[in-house]
Amino acid sequence: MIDMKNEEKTRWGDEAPGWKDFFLVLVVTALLIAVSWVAWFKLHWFH
Amino acid sequence: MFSPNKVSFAGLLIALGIIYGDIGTSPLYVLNAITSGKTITDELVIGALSLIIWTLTLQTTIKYVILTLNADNRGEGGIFSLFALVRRRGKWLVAPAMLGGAALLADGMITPPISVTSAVEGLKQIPFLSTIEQSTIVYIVIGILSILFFIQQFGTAFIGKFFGPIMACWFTMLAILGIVHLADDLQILRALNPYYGIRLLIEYPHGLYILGGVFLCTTGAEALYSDLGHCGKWNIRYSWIFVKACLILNYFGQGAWLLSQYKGQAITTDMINEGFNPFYGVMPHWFLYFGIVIATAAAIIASQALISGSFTLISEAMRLNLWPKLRIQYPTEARGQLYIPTINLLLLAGCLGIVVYFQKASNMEAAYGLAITLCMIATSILFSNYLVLNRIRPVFIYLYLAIFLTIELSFLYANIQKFPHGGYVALIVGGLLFLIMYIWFKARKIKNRYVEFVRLDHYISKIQELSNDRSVPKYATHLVFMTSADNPKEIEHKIIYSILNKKPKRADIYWLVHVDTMDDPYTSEYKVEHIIPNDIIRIDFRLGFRVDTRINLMFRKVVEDLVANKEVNVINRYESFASNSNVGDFQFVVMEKYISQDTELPFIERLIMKLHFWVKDLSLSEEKGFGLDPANVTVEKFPLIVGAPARLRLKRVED
Repeated sequence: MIDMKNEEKTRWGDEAPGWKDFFLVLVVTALLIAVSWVAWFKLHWFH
Repeated sequence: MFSPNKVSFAGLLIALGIIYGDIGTSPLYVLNAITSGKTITDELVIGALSLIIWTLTLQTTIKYVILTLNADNRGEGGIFSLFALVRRRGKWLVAPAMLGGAALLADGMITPPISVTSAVEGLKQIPFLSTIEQSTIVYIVIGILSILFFIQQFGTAFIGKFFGPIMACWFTMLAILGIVHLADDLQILRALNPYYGIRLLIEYPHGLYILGGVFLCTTGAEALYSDLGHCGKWNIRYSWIFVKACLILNYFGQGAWLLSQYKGQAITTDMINEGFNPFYGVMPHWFLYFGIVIATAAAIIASQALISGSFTLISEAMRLNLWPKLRIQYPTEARGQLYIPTINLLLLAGCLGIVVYFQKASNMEAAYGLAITLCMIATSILFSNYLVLNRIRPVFIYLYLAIFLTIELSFLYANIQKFPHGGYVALIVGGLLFLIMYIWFKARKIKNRYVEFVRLDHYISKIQELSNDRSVPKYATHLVFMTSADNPKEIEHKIIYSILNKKPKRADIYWLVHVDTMDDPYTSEYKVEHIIPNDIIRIDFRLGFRVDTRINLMFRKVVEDLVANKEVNVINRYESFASNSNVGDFQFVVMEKYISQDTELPFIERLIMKLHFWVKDLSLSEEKGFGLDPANVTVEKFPLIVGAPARLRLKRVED
């Protein structure tokens, strides 16, 4: 009997976020919140 | 080696991005669904929040996070993995598995429309856009969903890594907004006491029906289990602590805001149509722009999780022979990233149909949850069998069933009132999916019942004679038959008929290939039996239900191994090629059954077989299902003759 090796267990591949991705999202979030604040209080958009 | 059970930063973030999309976007619509048409009172809000908290505790935390996550099949979760674990306990267990799978898919079809529509309806909160037409919102939702389904074919690995961080921001935002409004009415904290929830159910007029709205807070719980293999048990458990805290804080904030702003007022349909939503109510005006953007992003992530989950569910069902074979594509190298074009198209059509039919999130809330309750009941039944297999004391198993079936049947009772309000849509879709599974499963049973197996050793000498009979033109150097005989000493009679009688097929080596689907998800093994060395060889592939059947590639790998081990000589034996050492040609033969005019079956079975062949015509052909290259495949059709045909009255007459 010859057995093939079992495939590697589950892996996350490209989906795995790193610290860089996490901080990138944080920065974008902070920017969006800032834009939201400026748009409402300073630019008076969509009032 | 990678271990999904190891808790890591990436693992926790992935859990946030994949698993908690559905449950995490529930605050967008749960309190709207509960308060719609009712007057805001302490009794209603505190009672409803108490029910939400205790539903998240009993149903999500205890049943799924603590108990069901233990039922992993070599790390994999989900209703079909659980079925594969317990199916040896009884054939009837296929029924709850099929029911649960169909219900999960059917209600899952409402998840993208309800989440995205609720998020986009936030636009009504912006003063400038408060008069936005509902049809405009429908167009925006259709646009978002169409793009989402369109990009599936390219894979989502690149954007997928941002899902977790975005959901982390989402949950943090939920918690902060909740905390900010807690002080609006601190008595909301009384909701931690289950007494208020129970009192609401008993004393409030039609109080039990409130569970229909409450249930929406836990509809995503099944996803916790389905994605177990992706994230690992402990990543799910640790991240759930954070998620649950954020959800409860947000529900508290929404409740306190409702009491402080609307106590004594009735929440009418007009108010909801004009944009009333406690979720957006707790946001300061300036924050709304960002709030709507991140809510839409979270809704898209929730939808993505549902779409990926559906692909996985269907691929498992296919391997377990519960679903017709469909073409599967692998957009990226990452395991678990698969794409099934037909399912993508069906889901897109279903989601767009739901958006167009229901138009508003409030209408979808009235339909959502009925089918998923059935799925949860099915999981409870299967899990109790898992407990039996693990020799848990019967008293605990009965206790488990008593507690969770009581909860789930109560939810089912409350959700049944959704039937006339749109719940029938999910039930009809779920019923159709169940019917397809049942037909596919039952037809296989019927076919197997009439497959005639014969002893292979009775025919070995004849096959050898044929192989050496040069008066018969050679059909192929290597002739490969796909056999369904589990016993290596047996073979289908029709294969023998095909080799020896139909049109004698002379070959140098006859290969018999059998594929066994294993309960272990990732088994990928083969066994070789040299029935007659260099003449008749049988290969048994043992493939887990998560392993794609690519017999073409796998068979080639086996032959390479055998040649390397000098177990077989694959060089062709044509005399004119004697000086060249060319590898002989391989020809696969696949048998296909059909119902002939002579076939006699009981009415129901005949109907099932008719529907089966009709569905089969729409699905992948037998050879493509095995992953064979059509260029090297001969498909032979055999009638499924059952029993003796009716006595034919035919008389010879003389002139």
